[in-house]
Amino acid sequence: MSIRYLRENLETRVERERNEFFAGLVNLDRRSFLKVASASMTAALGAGAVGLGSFQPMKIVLGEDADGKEQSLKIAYISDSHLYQKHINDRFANALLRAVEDVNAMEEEPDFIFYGGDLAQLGQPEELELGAEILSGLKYRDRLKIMVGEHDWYYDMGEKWQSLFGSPRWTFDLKGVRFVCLMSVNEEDFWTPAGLTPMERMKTVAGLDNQAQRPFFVGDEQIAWLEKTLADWKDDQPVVVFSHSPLYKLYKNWNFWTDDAEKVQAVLKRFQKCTVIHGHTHQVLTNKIENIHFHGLLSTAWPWPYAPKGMPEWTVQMNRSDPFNSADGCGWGDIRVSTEGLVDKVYALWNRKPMFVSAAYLNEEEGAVPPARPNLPSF
Amino acid sequence: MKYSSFILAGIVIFSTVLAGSAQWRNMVPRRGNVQQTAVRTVENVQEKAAAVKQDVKSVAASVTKTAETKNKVKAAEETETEFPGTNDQWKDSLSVDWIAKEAESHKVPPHFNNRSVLRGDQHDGHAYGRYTEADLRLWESETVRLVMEGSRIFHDAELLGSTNGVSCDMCHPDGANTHPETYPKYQVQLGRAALLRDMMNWCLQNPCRAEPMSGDDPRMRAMEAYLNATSSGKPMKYGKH
Ligand code: HEC
Ligand SMILES: [Fe+2]
Ligand SMILES: [Fe+2]
Repeated sequence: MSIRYLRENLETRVERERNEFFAGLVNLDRRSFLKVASASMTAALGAGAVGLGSFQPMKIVLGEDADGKEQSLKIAYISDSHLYQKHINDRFANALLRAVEDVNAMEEEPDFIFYGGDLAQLGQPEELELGAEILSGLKYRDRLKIMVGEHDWYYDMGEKWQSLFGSPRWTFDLKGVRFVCLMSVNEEDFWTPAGLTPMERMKTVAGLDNQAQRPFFVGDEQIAWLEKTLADWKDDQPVVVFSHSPLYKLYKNWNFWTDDAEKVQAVLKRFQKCTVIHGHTHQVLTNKIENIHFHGLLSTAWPWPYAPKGMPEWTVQMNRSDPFNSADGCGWGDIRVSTEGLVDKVYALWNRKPMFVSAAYLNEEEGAVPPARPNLPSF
Repeated sequence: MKYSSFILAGIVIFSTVLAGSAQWRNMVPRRGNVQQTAVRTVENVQEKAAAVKQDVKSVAASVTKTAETKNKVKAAEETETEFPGTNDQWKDSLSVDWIAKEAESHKVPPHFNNRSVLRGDQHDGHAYGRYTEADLRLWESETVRLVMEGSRIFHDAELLGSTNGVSCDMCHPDGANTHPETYPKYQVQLGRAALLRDMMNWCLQNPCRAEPMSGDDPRMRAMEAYLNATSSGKPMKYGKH
């Protein structure tokens, strides 16, 4: 990878030390080290050890079929890296590099890698290019599927992003699952009447608590497209929908919100196995509305606090994050679609035990293990 | 009728004689004495204007200091306009446009409604009996201005002196998770009982990679005002983790 440890500081030092550690393992190649480390780390995790340092490999086996052979589909995800240009902020760039390395080090090859949006912080072409460059370091870069976020869009209304990554809405089928990605971060035009420059518009949208912007929406045209895309799909066939904003109404002040969520839900309701995966909220977030399951994604850059009201009761909140450790509350994760077409979700928190939210928990199946509650409240 | 006008005239003369004494003027119950109220309000405003001018100077001073540490000082005559927006709105102390603009973007809980102190008659002769609508407006506008100035700085990486583009609202939308109501409290990592400003300085130096601010830096004072305002209504629980 061409960009590496741009400047030595608190976090880059951790990165460097970790690298030196790997480099110093003369008798062990990196892959076999990971296996050894994985086993010992799991033991350490079981014993409740904390402070594992910066690196935490993990392996959680799910969705085995009758013969005990894994049949499921595995997606690695990275999201919300909010990159600035590299001379402004190296911290967020290093965090994305770290996620890319972690995904590359996964023992099982992912079926594809999903990026959840907000690659850039202020939609600058240089920021998006930096992101594309870092993501090109993925071992399975040809399997990268990428979603757009509001931070990628509102400087040039998606021009640069689309020139790099193509259409913000897409669909494909894999191993019997239909995947659909929506562009859910449309806002009504508030900038023309206010006479804002592109940068002013971008900064207004970039402020989570900025009330001068409008709520996100999917739009009727796109909902019609979604309906058409799913028209040939039977009610019992599995569907996974990606959207940057949660496709439900959580907290309007922070745009943890999609204004026409009910209309989208109405299209998805007929599917017995339907999961929505969203970015934007930078936290462990779980919901279920009728039969639709919802999962959030972690950010690599920073965690958001939980919304002061409207929290879904399905969510087991992650621990409050530690301001003294910039990686805390951040991370990546994986999404496993089981043979039945339901999604089990892993939040790979860099500084903590991974959190696991199973479909069985959301379906209230007997004996289902709920996500482990952290020992501290999120405040 | 005649008697009462006689007494009134007497009072007027009496108070005119003593008008020179500021102490006396402060003790006269102002209920019903519109003129005097007006005089006091004007004086108040003038005082505030002077204070604001002072603030402008200190804001300018601290901004300059930050700039210096960043080796960014331009020619001396440019310093005043180096951070346009920091000083501009304070120049006309009575202009409230920028406050309205800030309030449009960032919501803060409402200022406390102090109307109860206007029930003056049961306090005749007491300080609290003397307040008027004008006082209430003054208290509110001055306080809200300080709070909104805090909001403006909290949301602006440049005004914070951030060197990596990061501002406080990126992790604390609407001031969330800053818990000013829990201070003072011991912070293990700081190794001492911390004040709110100590944690603000920690976050300034680390997430934002900015210079720490002194406790009486006008930006620090304004941000403290903002954070306290956003936690309005929460019970104070010092030491809570
Ligand atoms: C990159 C993210 C980030 C940024 C930017 C940031 N903080 Fe923090 N800050 C945190 C986290 C995480 C905590 C811990 C929150 C908790 O305790 O729940 C915290 C804690 C605090 C606390 C103490 C809260 C408590 O409960 O004791 C204060 C005060 C604070 N921040 C103020 C600020 C100010 C002022 C700024 C801007 C100069 C700022 N922060 C910028 C992440 C950030
Ligand atoms: Fe984001
Ligand atoms: Fe977002």
